[in-house]
Amino acid sequence: MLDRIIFGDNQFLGINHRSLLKAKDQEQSFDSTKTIYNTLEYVNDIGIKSFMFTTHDQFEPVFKKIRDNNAFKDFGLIPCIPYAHKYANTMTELGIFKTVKKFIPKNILKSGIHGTKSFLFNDPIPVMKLLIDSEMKMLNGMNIRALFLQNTITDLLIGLKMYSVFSEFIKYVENKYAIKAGFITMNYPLLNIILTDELKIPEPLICANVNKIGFRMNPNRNEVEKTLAKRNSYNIAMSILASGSINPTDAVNYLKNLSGIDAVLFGASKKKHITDTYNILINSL
Amino acid sequence: MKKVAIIGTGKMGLSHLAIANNTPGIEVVAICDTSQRTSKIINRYCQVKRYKDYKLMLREIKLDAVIISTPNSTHYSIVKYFIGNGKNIFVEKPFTTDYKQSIELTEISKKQEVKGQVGYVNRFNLVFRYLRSLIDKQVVGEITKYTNQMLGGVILKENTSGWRNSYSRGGGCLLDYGPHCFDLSIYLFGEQVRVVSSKLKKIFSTNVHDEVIAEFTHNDKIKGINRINWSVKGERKANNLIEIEGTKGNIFANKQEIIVDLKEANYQLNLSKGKNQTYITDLNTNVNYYLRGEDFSMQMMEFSNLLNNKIEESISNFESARLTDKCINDIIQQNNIEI
Repeated sequence: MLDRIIFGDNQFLGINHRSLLKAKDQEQSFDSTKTIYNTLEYVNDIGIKSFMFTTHDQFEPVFKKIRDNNAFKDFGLIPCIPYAHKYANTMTELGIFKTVKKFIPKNILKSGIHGTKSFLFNDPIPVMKLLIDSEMKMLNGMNIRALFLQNTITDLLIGLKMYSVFSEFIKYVENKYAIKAGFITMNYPLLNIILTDELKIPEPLICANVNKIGFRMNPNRNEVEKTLAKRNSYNIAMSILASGSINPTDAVNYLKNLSGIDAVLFGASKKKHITDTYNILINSL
Repeated sequence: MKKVAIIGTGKMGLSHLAIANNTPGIEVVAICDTSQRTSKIINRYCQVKRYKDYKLMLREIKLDAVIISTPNSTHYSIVKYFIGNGKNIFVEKPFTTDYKQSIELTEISKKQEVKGQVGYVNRFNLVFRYLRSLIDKQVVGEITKYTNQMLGGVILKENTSGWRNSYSRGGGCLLDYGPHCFDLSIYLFGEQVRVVSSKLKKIFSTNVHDEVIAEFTHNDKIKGINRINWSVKGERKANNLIEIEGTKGNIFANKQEIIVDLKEANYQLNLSKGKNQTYITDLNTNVNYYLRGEDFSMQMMEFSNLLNNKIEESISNFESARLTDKCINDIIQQNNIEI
């Protein structure tokens, strides 16, 4: 299965769910390939061997350097697609159909492999498959451990009751790329029930907020804890520090006493914070 | 359970559908869109009826309310039709594209006893709600001045086409960002609002403006500068930055955090002298279903509460929304914009 400790990418993209002012600072400190690469090199050196990230263009040159460096040979990537601002924004701006046209290579549409236009417009599954292929192509030759669907899309599919897309996503990724497929969500109990009860997926891979202060643990912390304890899904806890609201020791003490956490995703920008959090995690989990 | 239909299944319509499907007290029973492509797909997964014509829809099924997320220019006629039929209404912002129409709709909705809500989602942002409560408690004393900036990076190179470059299609940062920014100022600083002066500037767009600076007064006491600019590099998402000056201190706020800087401690509110910071992570963010921020879920919950008589008025009702339309109208007039 996946590594127990996974490094995340929010700090590189200027995302901080607590403070916009801090997010701006971070964005400025990671404005080049070099600064991102240096941080990942450090992460790899201290023994964190997995990096989970959204498929942002900014990472392409970083990955090229990683591919060329033998020190990264056991360093695994966990891409999350689609990059919210690349597709979701286009989707909201242009609508589903124009988005498809924009991102799907014309030759595929013309080739008719995936059916006619009307077929496309009646069925979102082929569209999803094409998007997976186009994202995976960018990561050709890398050590990919799993592929995740971003929460913007996961949660939209939950809301629109398009549950079968989840099983199709898993089937396609596992069969074509021989890697695990997972889902990020802000609605963990809802998704857990859909995947395990309705779709009967054995041990689905889910990544969701789990933190001491209950930040974005919907519908509430208690429900999330109860669902985790069912242990019927492989659970990756994210936002464990709630973007810096909780100190690493308190954050990990909380996780330690929970049942059902299989792996932890965390991000930090300063070397000292990365090492401190990593050491606390490795000693406690 | 109140029966609801969604009219318009574009960007906002889909988002409202997903959220409404998970909001207690309401049930989406139908969707309506002139284009059948999206609704065909939705229909395969959600058990809803689908229509092309909202008048036909209303004849065929029993509805308690509608959620309207069609192009801005159609809001007036659709809202008017449903008010005429006594249906409660949620309509996306802006209320209408002409404040005279907004006044008319507000008046007939009162006569028909129709309940209304407009999609000003900032009013449901947890930090802005907290900010409003601090203002109500006069935490910085009398407010003398404020600036409310809404900055984003939408148009970053020369733009000669598309709806964003056309006022008649709702483009320009005045019509796109303006409603959100002005509504927030009205929510925070009061409904007795007047546009004192305004200036527009083109940066990258050829037919519309990319920056608006408008001076407001509220109750003829609070002076405010509203600055909107959608051509700011490095702004990943549109953001509102608010700075308030009061007799007892200052406040800085955005969607995620508030800094209250006080000249003296406020023991009642447990705020110390100097800077007091509150983040969104300090507030209760629990929602039944999360899609794109708690505010969107809370907005829909409010509509459900309104339909189920749990509240009498929405915090974002027709009355307040028409004030924003008036401010926009005044800026259009002051700058001789032809729409």
